[in-house]
Amino acid sequence: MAQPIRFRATVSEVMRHDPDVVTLRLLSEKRLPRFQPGQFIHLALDEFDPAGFWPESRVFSAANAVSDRKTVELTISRQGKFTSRILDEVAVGRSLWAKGPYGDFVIDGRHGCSRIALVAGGTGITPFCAFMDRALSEGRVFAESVTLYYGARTPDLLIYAPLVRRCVTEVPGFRARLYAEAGNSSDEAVHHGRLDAGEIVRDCGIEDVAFYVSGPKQMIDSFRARLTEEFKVDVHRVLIDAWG
Amino acid sequence: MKADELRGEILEKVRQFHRARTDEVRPFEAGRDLVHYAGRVHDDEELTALTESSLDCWLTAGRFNEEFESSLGEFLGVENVLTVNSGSSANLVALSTLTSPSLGDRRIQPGDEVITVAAGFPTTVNPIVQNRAVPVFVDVELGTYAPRIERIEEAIGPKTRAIMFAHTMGVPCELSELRDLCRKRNLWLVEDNCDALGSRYDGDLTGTFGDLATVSFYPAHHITMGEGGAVFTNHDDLARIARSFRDWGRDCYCAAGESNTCGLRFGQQFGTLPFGYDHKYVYSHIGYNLKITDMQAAVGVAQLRKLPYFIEARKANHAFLHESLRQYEGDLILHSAPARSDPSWFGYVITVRPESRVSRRDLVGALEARRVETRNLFCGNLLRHPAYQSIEHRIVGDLCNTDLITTQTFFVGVFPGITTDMLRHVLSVFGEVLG
Repeated sequence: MAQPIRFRATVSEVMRHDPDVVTLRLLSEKRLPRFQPGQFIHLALDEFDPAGFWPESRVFSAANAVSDRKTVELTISRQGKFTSRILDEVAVGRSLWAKGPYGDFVIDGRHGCSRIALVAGGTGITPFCAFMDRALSEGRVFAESVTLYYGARTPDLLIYAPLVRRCVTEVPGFRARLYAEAGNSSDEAVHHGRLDAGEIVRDCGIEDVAFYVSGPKQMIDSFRARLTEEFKVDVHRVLIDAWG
Repeated sequence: MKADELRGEILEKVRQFHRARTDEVRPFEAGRDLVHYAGRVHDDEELTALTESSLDCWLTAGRFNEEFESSLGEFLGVENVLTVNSGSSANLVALSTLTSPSLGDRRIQPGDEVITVAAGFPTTVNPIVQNRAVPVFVDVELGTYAPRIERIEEAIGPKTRAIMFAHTMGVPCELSELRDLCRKRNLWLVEDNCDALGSRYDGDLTGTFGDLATVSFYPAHHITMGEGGAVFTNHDDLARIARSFRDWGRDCYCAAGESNTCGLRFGQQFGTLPFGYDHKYVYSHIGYNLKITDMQAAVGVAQLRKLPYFIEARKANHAFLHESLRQYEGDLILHSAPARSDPSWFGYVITVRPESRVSRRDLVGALEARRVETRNLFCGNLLRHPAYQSIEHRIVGDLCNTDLITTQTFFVGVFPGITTDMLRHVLSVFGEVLG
């Protein structure tokens, strides 16, 4: 991974999806290192003196490929005090400190599998958005096939569905299945219900498949346990976006 | 008075100090004042940056180091720059990086061969020996002091894993061809760019052709931070390995003063350690501690801003000497560079022709007597030195030119601190001896 740097960024856009989910677009003052899809940044709210220690921060996956080496998009849901401060305090024009890129949850071909399953719950979609962003710009994916399983509480919270549809249309080998737990959708492609490991295994199989799982901790734990214990998927082929 | 105001006052005093000291410097007097072969060139920017860094008292690599690595990366157009405490350490880190088990079949293992040259500086070759690989020596050309691509190709054998040598005195070899050869033969290319910051081949900066490259910031070099160097690469995976070798061999990549940036500090399995063993103390390589301080980096930041001017000054000084020395080509082999190269010269290298009526000793003696510093082309033939008498190695062809360099070659300075008056003095000594 590239050498992380600390950078000041200005909030150039705030998109509120509902009272508890927001997307921020940050413009860095300096050129950013090369991001790999799946990597994240630390975001701080308090002022930072570069001659001192890093303030309190939380981590968020970049939801874009950061291909312009300047713009980082983050989608953040209300989880606790810190994320509540982000949702309640951050507005366009605010200057924030961040550092990155970090993380080994990099969506690439190092596991050696020719087929990829991406499993995203809620805002856990963000690392895969960076992957889709890059796939769209390159017009291809590194694997033979990539299937995205993307679930949210309601159809409205499938906030990256347009990006997913674009990717399905424009990138050969990329397909997707969308799920909403509640509410009705006019989109026939959105299935009713939760993401389910059994259904995903039935859909894509396990032979020569690497599973990338990102979302709430409970969901990740459940998927990891079922994939490795019930379906006997090699533990090295189940990659999780975990913290702690 | 607040801390910020005091800081500003201190820095202003430093600027005043620099101005006062500069005013006390008297004009160059030929024959009395030394014409150095190299040296640091700085102004109040370096002094204030150094002072500012000391006021931070962060001491280990910090904000200035981060700025330096980013800025040097932008200058070079490479993704990853890692500062280390010397150019020699940079070479050690670069070669050691290629021994990492994480590289699988491509890693350099004991007994594998690395093609290099014997006419240069020892710490280009030392990491090969220290990593228990076998150096394979090829001869260099007189004038450029670089090896020809044909010689390198001849030296490739079944055990060859890498090619690593310096762009001696700023002069690159045929780098595009060498890069193609390495790709074709699946070999690593390590550019020791310590003498050559700012040199170009086919329009591209040297150091950007190889898998890894190194640079030195010793005071004799193109920019300085006292002691210092850097490793750079466009391969993120190699950069991570290099960082590990630099930072004690640890697996964790957190910067100084940070921890748990990955969030998995206590949540991973490594080797036979208990699950969740503190990642900060997990070692994936047998590494070193080769980091720099933030004071060094602060000086580097100020120096880097001057680099474009430094490069042009070196070129101008070299060209001035070259034009004036042409008249002595009967006695001297003048410094030259391969077609398609544009060196950022380290010095002006001269080989006294064996058939000349004067010897190197005569010429160097006259220059030194008239206060002109000279240096040999570093170690000449490395294999003639006591430490290298018994190292395992292979020579392909002969090292005739390398031996000639040992007896006939020296260089004088072209660094930006040399003035036209100094160059005229240098040339006057050549005139006295050869005219």
